[in-house]
Amino acid sequence: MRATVDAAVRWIRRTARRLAPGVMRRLRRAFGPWRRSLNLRVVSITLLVSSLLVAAFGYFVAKQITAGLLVAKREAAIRQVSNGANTVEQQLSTLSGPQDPELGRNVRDVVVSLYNEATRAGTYEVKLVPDAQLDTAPYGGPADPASIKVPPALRDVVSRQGTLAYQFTTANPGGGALKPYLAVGVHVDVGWGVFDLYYLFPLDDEVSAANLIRTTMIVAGVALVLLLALMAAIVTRMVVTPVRAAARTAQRLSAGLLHERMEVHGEDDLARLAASFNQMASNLQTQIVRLEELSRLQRRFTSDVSHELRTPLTTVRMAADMLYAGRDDFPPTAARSAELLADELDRFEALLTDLLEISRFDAGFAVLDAEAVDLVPIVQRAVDGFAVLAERLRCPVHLMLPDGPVIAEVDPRRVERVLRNLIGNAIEHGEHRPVEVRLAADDRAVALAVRDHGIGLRSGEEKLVFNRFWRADPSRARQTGGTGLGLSISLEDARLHGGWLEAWGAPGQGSQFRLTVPARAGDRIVSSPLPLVPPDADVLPSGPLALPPGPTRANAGAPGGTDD
Amino acid sequence: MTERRRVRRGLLAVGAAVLLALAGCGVPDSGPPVVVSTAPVTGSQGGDESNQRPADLPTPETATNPSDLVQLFYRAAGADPNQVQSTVSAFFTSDVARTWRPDPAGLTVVRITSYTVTDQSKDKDGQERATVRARGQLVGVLGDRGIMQSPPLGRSRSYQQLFHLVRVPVPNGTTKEWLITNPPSETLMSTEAMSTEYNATILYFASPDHRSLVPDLRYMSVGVLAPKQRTILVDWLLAGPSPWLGQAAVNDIPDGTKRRGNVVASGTNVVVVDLSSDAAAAPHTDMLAAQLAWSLRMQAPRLQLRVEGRAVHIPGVRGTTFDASTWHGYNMSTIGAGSTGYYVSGGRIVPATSNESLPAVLSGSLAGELNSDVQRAALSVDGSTALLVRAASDGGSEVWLGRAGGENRGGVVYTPVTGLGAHGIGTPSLLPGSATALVPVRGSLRSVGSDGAAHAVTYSEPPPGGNVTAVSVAPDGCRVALVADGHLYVAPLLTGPGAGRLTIGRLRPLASTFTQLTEVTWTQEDEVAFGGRGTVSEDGPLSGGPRGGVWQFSVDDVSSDLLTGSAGDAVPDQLASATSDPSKGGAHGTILLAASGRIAQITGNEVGPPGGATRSPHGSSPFFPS
Repeated sequence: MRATVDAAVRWIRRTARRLAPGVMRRLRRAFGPWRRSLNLRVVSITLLVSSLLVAAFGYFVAKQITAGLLVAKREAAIRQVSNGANTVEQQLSTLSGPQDPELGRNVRDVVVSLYNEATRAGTYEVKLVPDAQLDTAPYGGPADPASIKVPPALRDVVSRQGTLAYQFTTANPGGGALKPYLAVGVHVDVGWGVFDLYYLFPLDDEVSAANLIRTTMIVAGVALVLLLALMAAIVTRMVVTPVRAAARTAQRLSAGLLHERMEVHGEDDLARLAASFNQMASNLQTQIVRLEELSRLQRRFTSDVSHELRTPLTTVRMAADMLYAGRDDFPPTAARSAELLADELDRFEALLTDLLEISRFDAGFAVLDAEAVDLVPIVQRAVDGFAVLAERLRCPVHLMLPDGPVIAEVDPRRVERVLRNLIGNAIEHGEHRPVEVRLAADDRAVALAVRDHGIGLRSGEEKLVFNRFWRADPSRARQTGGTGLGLSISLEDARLHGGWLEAWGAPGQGSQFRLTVPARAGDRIVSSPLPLVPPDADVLPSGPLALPPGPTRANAGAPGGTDD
Repeated sequence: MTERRRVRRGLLAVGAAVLLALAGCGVPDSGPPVVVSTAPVTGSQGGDESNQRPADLPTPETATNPSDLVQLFYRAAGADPNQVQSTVSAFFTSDVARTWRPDPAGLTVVRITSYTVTDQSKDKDGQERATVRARGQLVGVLGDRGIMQSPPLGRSRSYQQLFHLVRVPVPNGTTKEWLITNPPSETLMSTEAMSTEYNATILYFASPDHRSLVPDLRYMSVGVLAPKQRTILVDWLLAGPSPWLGQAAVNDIPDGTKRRGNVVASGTNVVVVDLSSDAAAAPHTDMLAAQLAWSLRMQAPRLQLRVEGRAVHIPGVRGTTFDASTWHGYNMSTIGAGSTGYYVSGGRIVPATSNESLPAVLSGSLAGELNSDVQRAALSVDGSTALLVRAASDGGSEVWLGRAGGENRGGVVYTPVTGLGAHGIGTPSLLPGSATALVPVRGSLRSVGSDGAAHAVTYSEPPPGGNVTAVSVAPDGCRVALVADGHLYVAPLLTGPGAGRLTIGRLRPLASTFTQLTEVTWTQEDEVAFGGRGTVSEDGPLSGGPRGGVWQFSVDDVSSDLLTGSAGDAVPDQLASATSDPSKGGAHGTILLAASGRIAQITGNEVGPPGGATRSPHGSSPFFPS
């Protein structure tokens, strides 16, 4: 038994788990329009609430009126039956007893007089049932006495308990369909015998009145509900229309159409809202234009400065190269200075190059020169480029490549630059531990992952690493002479490909950077062939990491569902 | 699914919910029985009215001897009208009891004067046998509607019945009982049994002029419950007066009127008489109500007349209820009740009570002149009319009709009555409320109109004799009692089209075995008293042979009483009486009698001086206003 129950519970759980997503999806789909449309929401809520209120009110009123009608009918009927009982008692108590030869005639006469009596209770059927010990038959009218059926339960209460009682029932003493009746009975003791007197009062008038009331309430209720819904729709439309206009205007504003404004009609609250909105849009436009101008000036300044610095830097470079070339002739101190000058000029030149590259990204001048290339040689070449450094820092680089070529439509220069940047950073922060470089591909995307086992990243630093000139520990000495713009440029390169550049790291477990680009230029990627979190990591990330916003967002694919 | 379809579906759902909610507030067509209260314990309409008599049916095993059994047999038929056959046949031997059936004509009522065991012996089988002779007078047949029908006028009233009895063992018992072996064909009942088993009940009908009520004596079994008596009385009223009254009384309840339901009490002391719509056509609603009120006065303290269930407002009556007192004056017996009697002393009329005076019609100057040599007189109740029979100077008699209201001679006018002759004029009797009088003249009956002219009174049936010596008009003026050929009769009095034109209806003999009848007077509205000699029982308290005195009989000859039981055996020469007030009861009114030249008064059954006098005064010809 218990096993059966457990099996049933398991089946229910499985079924619920299997059906739950579908149900929730259907619910979301069903309630989608309701969630999206304020107008529909207000109208439907108004419709629902007003319907409930009208129904409750109509139910209460109709019930009260009907109950009042029935109470009046019942009281009149009880009075009538009580009077009838008095009449029966008065009439039949005059007889000498059960053996009176006029008993039968008196029973008939009293019944006839009862149902011929004009009363407020309306027309009715009367039946006088003598006690079983009396030698006379029941009599009733005006319908056929045999067709006047008294409910057995009422007969039981009246006859056996000797009461005055009533019961709602259905009957058809006149033939035809059953109709509701109020049956009232009373036990009558005439001294020498007992009788049960029953009245059947038709409830036709009450039914008609109740139907009329119900019909009236329904018609009035439906009309009222529809009117309320219409009013709610009109009012909501009056409110929602300007709001929608404001939303459209805001969307246009957010899309860059800074001259978009709302129409202002009248002087009401909505007009003030539109005016305020327009004022806010004007202020925003002014600020945005000013900031754009400032940004443009800043970018131009950076570009100009970079360009302007390049000419004197070339001269200085030539001079420094001459000094460096003749350093052997210099005293040791001067020779060391010439070497330092050459090194710093390299870094300065690299910084200047990066600044110019960033300026091109910022100015939107960066262009993807994609071609179908095999990424394997590019990866090998990039790794080979760090062989000396890796050896110097005792940080071996393990390359894990597919067996065959990995063909993708990429800009090889930019991919190699990204790869060099990532490998350099890994060696630099690898803490003399091996660095692993993986290449993988599927039908839609190609991924490159660089894994180090250094100090790793603290929580939240996965996003910060892509900021310009961001440094996790400013006190650490830079081994490779980086500019602080490498990951920023790499991120822009990834976006330019429509790909992702993501980072994962955990303190003490190292970090991993993953570049994912579409196999065919222009395609949209939804997953990466490589996991972002390395399989040997102990701590799972809280979720996929998002790309930091960049100026070339239009070219960068949004990170989708990954297989990590 | 489109958004519009979803909205439409939602609207439909809401509408359906509203409809379902409103549908729940309709008229119920089922449910359990609900007790409002326990039914009131009703029962009969008051304990005092449920006069259920104890079961004391006479049975043969209680008879101690053959004579006793026959007496019980004469009681049996009246003991329970609903069980006549079983009760009466219980007195017969089993072989004849099976075939005996009650007489459909009704109960034959006989006044048994003697039960005589003529033979009592054992037959050859040793069985005791007896023969009992019952003798008496045939009174009549009690038929439908409680009417006592007298035998035909020419039929002998003498009654004799011979019963053969045998003594047999009581079934399932050890004793023996006497049983009758020759059951009579009639269903017999003695007057003695009738007085105990039946109540005399008077119905009232209207006089032909619709001015007064006419009593109609009926009999109701004492076994009938009071509530049912009301219904029965109304049924009898609806059926009209008894045949004997004939045209002397009419029914102011229109023909065809039916009773709607039984006559029942509604509320406190109010009895409702609900009649069909035919009653609405009654031209004399007041008389209709008076008939009901007086007829039901013993069973209904107060009445409400309804027609088709609606109370009738009777002109002159406050409210819708009334009783007999509302119509007190409609019963003429109440008017003359308690009035002062007069008699003739020394040729002058004097009041029987010393502190009373003569009315104007007898005390004015002209009257004073005429109030001499008076032999007999009559006076109307209102004192406006007097009829004097005076001794004329030629040795004969003359009759004067005096009426008050004139302008001369003290406002009294006396007119000599013509056409009566001068000899053999008896005691006149005035009709109530008129100046018409009946006067026996030399064996015939004459009427005197208000014009002073005398007319011969006619008979609807030829009288057996014709020598009328005394006459007395009933207080209602529609009946008359007379002594003709020494026999007493009552009859309806029919008023003819002209003044003083009167007709005597069907004569009903009373006290047929009585002799030496002198005068007759009405003591109650259903009783007459007369002077005579006779007997009603040879074995009872009045046994001992015929007795002379003042006898009182009911107008149907059923009840009888000797009013002068302790006052000797003399038959009074003359007598007069004021009727008792029927609303107050009483065996009879004040009776004045003249015997041996002296006036005496009967109070109860005692005879004494009138008006509180110490001794009976000299006088004759007593009379009361009528």
